Formats: sequence, structure tokens, C-alpha cells
Amino acid sequence: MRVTRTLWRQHIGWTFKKHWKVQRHRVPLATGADLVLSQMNIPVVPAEDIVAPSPMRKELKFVGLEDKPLPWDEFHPLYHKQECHMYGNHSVLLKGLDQAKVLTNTVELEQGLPAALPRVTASARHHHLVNNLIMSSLVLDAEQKKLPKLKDPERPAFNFPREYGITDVRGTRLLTYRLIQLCGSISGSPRPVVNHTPVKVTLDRGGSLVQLGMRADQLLVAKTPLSALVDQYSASGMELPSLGQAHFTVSLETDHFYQDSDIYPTGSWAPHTLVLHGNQSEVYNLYETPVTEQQWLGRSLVNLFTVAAAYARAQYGAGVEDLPHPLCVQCCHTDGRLFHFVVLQLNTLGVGTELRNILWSQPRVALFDTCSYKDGQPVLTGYNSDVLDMLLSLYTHSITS
Amino acid sequence: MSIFFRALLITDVSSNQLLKYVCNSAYSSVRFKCRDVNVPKPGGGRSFRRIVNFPEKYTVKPLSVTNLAGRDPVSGRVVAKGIGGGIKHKYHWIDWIRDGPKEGPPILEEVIEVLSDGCRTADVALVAVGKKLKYILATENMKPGDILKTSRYIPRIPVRANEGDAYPLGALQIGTKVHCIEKYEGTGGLYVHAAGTYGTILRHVGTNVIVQLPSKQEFSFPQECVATVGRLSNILHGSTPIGSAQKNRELGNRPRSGLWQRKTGRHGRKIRPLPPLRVLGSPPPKPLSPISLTLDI
Repeated sequence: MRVTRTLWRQHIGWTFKKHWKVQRHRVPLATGADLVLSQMNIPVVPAEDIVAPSPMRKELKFVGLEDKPLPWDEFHPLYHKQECHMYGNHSVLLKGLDQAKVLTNTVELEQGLPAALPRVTASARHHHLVNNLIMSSLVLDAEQKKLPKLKDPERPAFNFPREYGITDVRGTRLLTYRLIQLCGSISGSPRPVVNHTPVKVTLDRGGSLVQLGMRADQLLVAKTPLSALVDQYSASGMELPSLGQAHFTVSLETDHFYQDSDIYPTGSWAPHTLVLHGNQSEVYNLYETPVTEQQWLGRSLVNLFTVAAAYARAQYGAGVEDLPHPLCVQCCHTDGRLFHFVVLQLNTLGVGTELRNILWSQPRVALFDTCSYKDGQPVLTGYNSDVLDMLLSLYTHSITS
Repeated sequence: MSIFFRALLITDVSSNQLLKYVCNSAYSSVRFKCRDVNVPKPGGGRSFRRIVNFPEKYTVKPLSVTNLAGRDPVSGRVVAKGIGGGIKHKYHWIDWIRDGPKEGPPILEEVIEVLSDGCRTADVALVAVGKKLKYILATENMKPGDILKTSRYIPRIPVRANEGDAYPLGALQIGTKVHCIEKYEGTGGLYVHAAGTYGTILRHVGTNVIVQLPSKQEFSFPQECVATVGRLSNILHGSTPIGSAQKNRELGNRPRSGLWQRKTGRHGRKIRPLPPLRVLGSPPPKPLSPISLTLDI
């Protein structure tokens, strides 16, 4: 057997190529010279910087071409040295309602909605209308869009047929718009509503900067704010919940790029009731596990606090802490089936004071059990009439104003 | 010269260049050009199953991965056969460094949730401490609400550690089950990551601690190296057969070919002595990166 190939003279170039292929990769020897030089305070720079300095590029301006976006570094106009904890539309708090209470300096005096809230009962005709509007919003609407992929955790390789239908965003929007319109008709004096408007407030919470930003899906407004339900000092000094080893800003994303400004959309018009959508496709945990019940409740409080704080800042100035007059705001937080009714009395925007904000909240209630097609027919089961009554009670609260 | 080439010659300069290319290509065909492709050998701690797209800053958001199907991502050549397909899982970025105070009481951390991660065999635990959320490897009995202790302090008397606590090896008693052991101080847990495994602290020798790893090999670590106490979760993983060919495909392994016959064990197994004790000291200096020279001819 021939061990090596005979290399003819004319193939010497091939040999060089092969040799160069191996020899071109060199590992430099670590002589330790840079260490010695640095000990002698002699600066060490890469040789490429001296031998081949980077060419100066001249920026040319062309008509019709957009400027390059600014790099996201410390020279960016939105850059701040202090990082800000950002709460957005998709955010939920790790510890749910307890964390929301600590973040907003809020306590609960009693379970359920306030006793001072006047109760209103709708008639059977109105409940029949609600039945119809649930069906028309969640089943009979003409939208046909791709719904989220279905996955079975037990069989992760199984691909289910892709479903089309009404997305949760549209279903919830249609339902709440129609419910609010119905409440306006029942009450006889419809309230002004602002739809789909941004609200933002940036607060210093014990040295940590927190920016609460949200989209108010429907904001019912009034000329004068709701009057205080209890004395503002009735909850002073009450203890806030313990969060264990976690800080109250845990699970909020941080950023150095933000606008340190507040947004309240309706000027001098006071917030009356916030209708907030909590769709599962929009709201999620950063670590991608399902949002828990406590986290939904916490989201109601933080969003309601954001609206109240933005109005208070707009009225009393950015430096206000303890409000001269307490401010009462209501909220209806829904995912299209479950409704959470909350009332908040805002007494202070500070965290270090004895004064506390006061929350009234009741567990989430279902408007219905199921609402879907069954055997080719639209079916609504388990309709709960309490939801309309409670929504109507909030809507008609202090209606004369 | 054909009419076509003549027409090109009289048009413009770019046509001249095109002609030059066409003429040259007749002499040196691309087909016989030698491409300098460096295909790595399998092994050396590199995985050719997937690469994880890590962001700059640590996050608990599950990360997207790029499956490689056994290919080297640089050259694109197949390095490891038998890998490909399977269910694509997101990657949970584990914070390997359990950093605690060198003096004083330990840091307390709270377990929020225990999750299963498709990219590794052991479960991962979501842990909250202060403003930070992070993932660590879950131990056998870890559950939400557990409080974990983390410290780098070595007391005179060994600590009474619970499952999931992280202490230096020098602070733990002989016989303690540990995992996620640091190779060098402060570099993060490296040894013992697989489901249901654990190392055992055998003895203290001077300032070193000797630990028997799941391979039965003994390692001598500096006593400052931090390890997590307990056995890793999903203990049934090692004794659970894959079960079916389809399940093996779901795991991302391609079918094997050829007649495979189980060895009978007729003459018993060859008993080899374990490798000698491996002593780990300070980390070796980082080698300089190679320079690739080019011939610009």
C-alpha cells in the first residue's frame, strides 16, 4: 500500500495552499508584557488602533431619506440615570392584591362594596336585554379571526385544528360598550365616556421610581368627583400586608429610557368609573404562567389608583402628597365573563405617611357560565343578574352631579 | 469574439468587467476552488442540539432557542448525528451564581413556583428576593412558599442546612447531599445539574472538601466553593424508559439504523478502577484567542 501520494513538481502550489490553510491560524504566546507595562503605568492599546485607525465617515444628507434612529445609549434624550419600574397594560404584580396594596399605600376597611353605595335593581326587561347583548357580543358577532393556538400540556406534540372566531379583545369591548350604553339608557342621564385613552403617572415610591401607565378602555367622567365615602383619617396607621422576602416592585420591568411626565386625558372632568378590560391575550406574567386570581384583583387596584393619581396630580399639582379633599373612584374590571367591582378612596399619593388609601372590593362574579355554540345553536347558561345590578349601582352613584 | 461580446465591449465600463469575469471563469472554475471549512469535533462541552438566544440583561422571560439538528452553527456542517426534530421548548435562564454575604446572617429567598423546563431534565424554581426574580434548579421536595438561605460565610461549626439552601462546601456537614457545585469560587454552580442526581460530601482535607459526584469520581473543591443542598427534582427521570420510538422523536432524537443487539453479559463486566482524585485549585488563565491571518494577493 502506498503510504503517501507522490507529489509532482507542478503541484507545489497545491502544497503551499494546504500548508497555509493550517499555518494561517496562530495562537499568540502570552508573554505577560501587558501586565508588566500596566504595573509600570504605561498604557497598552491594541496595535490595530495605531496601524489602521478607523476612517472618519462623513454624514451625507439626502432629500427624502429619514435620519438614522438614535442609538439607545446614555446620550439618548429619553435616557435617565435612575432606572424606572414600568407598569404597563400587560403587567401583573407577582404577589397580586397584597403587592398592589403596598405599592399604592392602600388598606381594606371591610369586605365587599361600601355600605354607602346606593343599590339599584334592574327590571326583568333589562335583564332580557343583557341576555341579548351577551349573545350578540360573544357569539353572534361577525368577526372571524384566528384564535390563539390550543395546547395540551399532557400531549405537547399534538396539534389541534386552528379555531377561528371572535377574539377576546373584541368580545370584551363589544360587551362593555353595550352594557355601559344600556346603563345610560336605564339611568335616564347618560354619562360622558372617553374610550381607549392613555393614562400615565410617575411616582417616587420610597426611593424607587415607578411609572404606572395604562389604557383606560372606558372612562366615565363627571364634572365633580365623587365625595368621600368615609373620613380620610379612618384608616390612618393601619398595617399594610407583608410581602415576605419580595420588594413591592418585584416583577416590574425596569428601564432607563422613559418620559417623566403625567397624562390625564379629560382635563378638569373627574373620573367617575373606570371600565377596564383584562383579556388573557393581553395580560400575562413575565414568566408565562397563567395569571392568578389574586393578580387579577391586584391589577384592578393599580389601574384604578393610576387614574385617580393622574387626576389628583392634574388638579393639585405634581408635588401633591396628602390630598386636600379625598377622591373617590370606581372600577369595573372584566375579561368578558368575570367582573370585579372595586371602589377606591384616594387620600394620599405618598408612601411614608400615616394616611392610607381605602379600598372596597368584592370577589369576582361571573356574568354567565357558558356562552357558545352547542350542537350548532348559540346557548347562554347560568346568567347572573347581580352583575347588571352592581354595574348599575356604580353607574348611577351620585348621578345628579 | 462573438457578436455578443463585441456588443458588450462598446457599451460601457461595467460591460468590460463582465467580459473579464466571463473570460476568467473559463480558466479558473469556482467548482475546483478549495473552501476553507473548519468543522469542529464533537465533545469538549459543546452542544450541537440548540443555541439559546440570550439577551444582554438577565430575565425570567422564557428565551427563544435555535435548534441546530446536530450542526455546527458556524460552518453549517453536521457534527453530531442522530439529532433533529422534536418539540421546540423555550429556555428558562438559570441564575447559576447564588451569591450571599461573606459575613453575617444569610440572605432569605422565597420560592414562588416550581416549573418544568423542556430544555433540561430537572425542574426549575422561580425565586423572588428583593426586587429580583430568578430561576434556580428545583430540589426534590421544593414547593412554593419555601424560604431558602444563601450565604458565603464559613462558620466554625457546620450549619444545619435545609434543602435548597446554598452554602460554601466548608460550611456543610460530612454526608450532606449537594448539587450545583461551583468549580471555582464565584463562577456559579457547574457540577451536578441532571434530574435526581446529587453529590455527597465525603471529608474535609485542609482547606479543601472532597465530594463524590454522581459518576462516583471524587473531586477535591476549595472550601469556599458554594453548593446547593439536597437532591435535584424529578427523581424518576433516570428510571423512566423513553417508552416508544415516537417519544424519542419528540425529544429531538432521530431514528437509529442498523441491527443493534444487547450484550449478554456472559463474561461479566470489566471492572476498572476509578480515576484518581481530581484536585481543583484556582482557575487557569484564559487562553488567548487565535488570530486568523489572510494573504491579500
